[in-house]
Amino acid sequence: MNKIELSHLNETIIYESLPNGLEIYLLPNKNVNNFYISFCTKYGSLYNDFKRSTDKKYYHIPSGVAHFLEHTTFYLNGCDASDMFSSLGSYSNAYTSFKVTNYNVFSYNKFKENLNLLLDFVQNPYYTEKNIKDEKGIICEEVKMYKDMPDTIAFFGLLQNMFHIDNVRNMVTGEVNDVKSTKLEDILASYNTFYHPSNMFVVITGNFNPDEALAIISENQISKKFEKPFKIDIKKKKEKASVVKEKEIVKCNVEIDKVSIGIKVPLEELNNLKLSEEERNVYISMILNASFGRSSELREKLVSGNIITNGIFYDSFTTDDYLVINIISETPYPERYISIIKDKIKNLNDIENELTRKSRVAISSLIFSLDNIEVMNEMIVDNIVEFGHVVPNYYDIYKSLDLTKMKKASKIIAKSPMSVLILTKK
Amino acid sequence: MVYNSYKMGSFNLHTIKTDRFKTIRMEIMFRNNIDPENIVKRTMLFELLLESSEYYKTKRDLILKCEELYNANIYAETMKVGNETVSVINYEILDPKYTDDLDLDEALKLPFDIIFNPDINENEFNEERLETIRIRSLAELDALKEEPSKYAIAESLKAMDRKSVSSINILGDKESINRVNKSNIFEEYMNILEHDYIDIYVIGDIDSNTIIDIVNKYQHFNTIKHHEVSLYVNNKVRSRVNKVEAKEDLTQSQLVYIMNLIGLTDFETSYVSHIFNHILGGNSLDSKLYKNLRNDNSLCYSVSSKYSKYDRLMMISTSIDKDNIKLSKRLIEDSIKSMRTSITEEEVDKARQAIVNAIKVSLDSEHQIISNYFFNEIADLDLVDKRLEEYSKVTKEDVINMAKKIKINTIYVLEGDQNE
Repeated sequence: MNKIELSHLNETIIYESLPNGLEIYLLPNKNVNNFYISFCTKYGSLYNDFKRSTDKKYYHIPSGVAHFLEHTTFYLNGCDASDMFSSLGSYSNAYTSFKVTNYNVFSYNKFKENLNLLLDFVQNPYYTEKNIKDEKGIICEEVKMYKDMPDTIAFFGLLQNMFHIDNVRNMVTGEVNDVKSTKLEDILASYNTFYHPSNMFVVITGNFNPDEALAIISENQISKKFEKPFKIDIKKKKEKASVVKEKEIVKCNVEIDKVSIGIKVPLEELNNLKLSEEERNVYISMILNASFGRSSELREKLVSGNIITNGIFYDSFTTDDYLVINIISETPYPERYISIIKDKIKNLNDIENELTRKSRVAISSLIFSLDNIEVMNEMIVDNIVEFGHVVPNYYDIYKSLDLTKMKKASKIIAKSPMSVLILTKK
Repeated sequence: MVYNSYKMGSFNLHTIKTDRFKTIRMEIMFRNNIDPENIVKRTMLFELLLESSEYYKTKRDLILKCEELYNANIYAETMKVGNETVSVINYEILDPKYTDDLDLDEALKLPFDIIFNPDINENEFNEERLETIRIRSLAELDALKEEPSKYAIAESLKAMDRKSVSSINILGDKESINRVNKSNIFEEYMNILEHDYIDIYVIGDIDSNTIIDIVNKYQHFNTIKHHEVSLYVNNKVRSRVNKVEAKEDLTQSQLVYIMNLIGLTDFETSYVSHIFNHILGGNSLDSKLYKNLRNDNSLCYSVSSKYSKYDRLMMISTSIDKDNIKLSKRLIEDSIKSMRTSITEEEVDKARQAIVNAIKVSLDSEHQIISNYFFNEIADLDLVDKRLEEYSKVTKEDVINMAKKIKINTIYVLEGDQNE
């Protein structure tokens, strides 16, 4: 059992790796009534061409199989895992994103039963032709639901205009045709590759006994047979630095134009700053917050000038080779808005004059999060998927920001290719 | 956890002492009977107070102040609860013991500064800021159409009865938003300060006497209210089902059922209905609707029912392909009928457990703890221990009996006519 101290936050994460490769992260909190368990595989919608290191050929699957697999995993022989969680009085759910599939359960009692059930239903799948067929109709309706949501159209429409071949351009669910073409062997190939314990991890937050949790998981895993751990080889696609389209206007069910601006920043250039991945993400987040956040001058100017109706929403994430920044607003004046945002991107704010305040805000946000077992669970999951480990030193990163590096990062963003998607009323 | 309630004349102060959280939360609640003419003014007013005030002329000024106060979080919301409207200033700060120098007195002053020092000049609000709020309100109203399922529910309630309080949208409509001006919104501000019932809740590792002193120092509420407020809406029951169809340029179609709950006892209203709703289509993946429409027939991604206690209504909504509307209707109606005929003890037990779980989960949130006390104070919501006890008394027969008191009022179809 190893301990990861979260610097200056007075919290400790317990970490253990089992012989079969399964990793366990525990953050107990005796002040709450509930516990939250995530059982994750490092497998998401980006990985459509893969093989075990011992295989000769890559296996190709349609887009959306990771998500399809997540749906069908809930089918058990003669029952449904959700029903069983429901009988325990627990909430169970699952989601698939670009890089991870997360099965989770939230409850206040029957810790052992919930934990064992979560491990068992994911590790004893029951995939049949009938289940695959039944689930297709449901997932097709889910895809169609997203097609009626402007926010999804703005997000994936922009990614399709930014990326030539990277799978990030595909919806996590895949398209209706992908869903219809998914076969049982695709599901099995994915499961047999990505659901080995050595590619999976458990995160538990909330009210539970960590020693007991480790004992339950260890006993559970010893009782099952797994192949020896193996390496997974995911086929890399060489994505060009350019964007596919610099601008597109799409008509859909919006009442006010929605503008999505994407920046495709080469990680190779950001890596020259000699920052760790977690430091790099903190720097990017600080720059975006200072430039477009709730207390930015730009937001105030755009709102008071009636250029935007509410806020500026922004986020960032990484693919293999790029940092993607996405900035979205609703505006009655799209061209004016685009011009102002593009100017701002050329001159992003650093936090030189507000270093103390911004650093205090970031640290306060961390402390606010500590009370919320779901947020903390998500943070640990994100850390593991993004960086391969829990980040113990956010406090120290915030306290030792290097303004020179921040300015250099802003310059790299400023000269990166951009793409604009405008959603306008039909 | 120690709860105390103090009647202060013009308002009530409630303190909840607990050391379970690293934050202190304050909610200042204003409530009154819904006035359909003024509901939009009210919604816009609370947004306006946060957008601009005497000491924080812009939203940015306010957010900068919040950032100074260790990222304090402040926001307003206005909601409809049956016949009443409740507006809340929500405010959350870090417990000062987790900071270097946060002063509790200074931190808790902020919401009162905003309420009692608005950006006004000679009984008129700042027109420029009001315009910002107007544009935002119109945008929010428009945005409703971007969420087909929510839009369909709002339209179905109007189709049920446009005059019913249940169909009122707190965002109003374009005309009512455009009628709000700098003078009449000031009148609404004064009206709310004088006539709304006001409750202030503070939860955290606090000392009640300190909180009383701070609140008394900064609050200026000064009218005592005696008028009656009533929560329950008596929606009309129809002798024949009202069937309404509309079309939109969407990929999916939306289907909504609205049902009246007729002649329920207090026990049914407070307890059996929640169990009933959970079995029919609550937030569970093993509800009757979910099994019939999704699991057995692959018709939809989600289908759910919602119990709207103070409107005495239950609603069912789903998103489906237009070719499956007829079959979906049949399966929904079969599901409703099966509530009279094929309820099992196991279903009742599962529903009970899920609800008990939800109650226990709520105790991990400062907001939910406040909400439990607030609805106990203003409505007929029992406190947690009593609720847990009462849920244990609900039987299968209670649920079957309640099924006889449900009548379909409106079936609303919003047909999407795009092909995928």
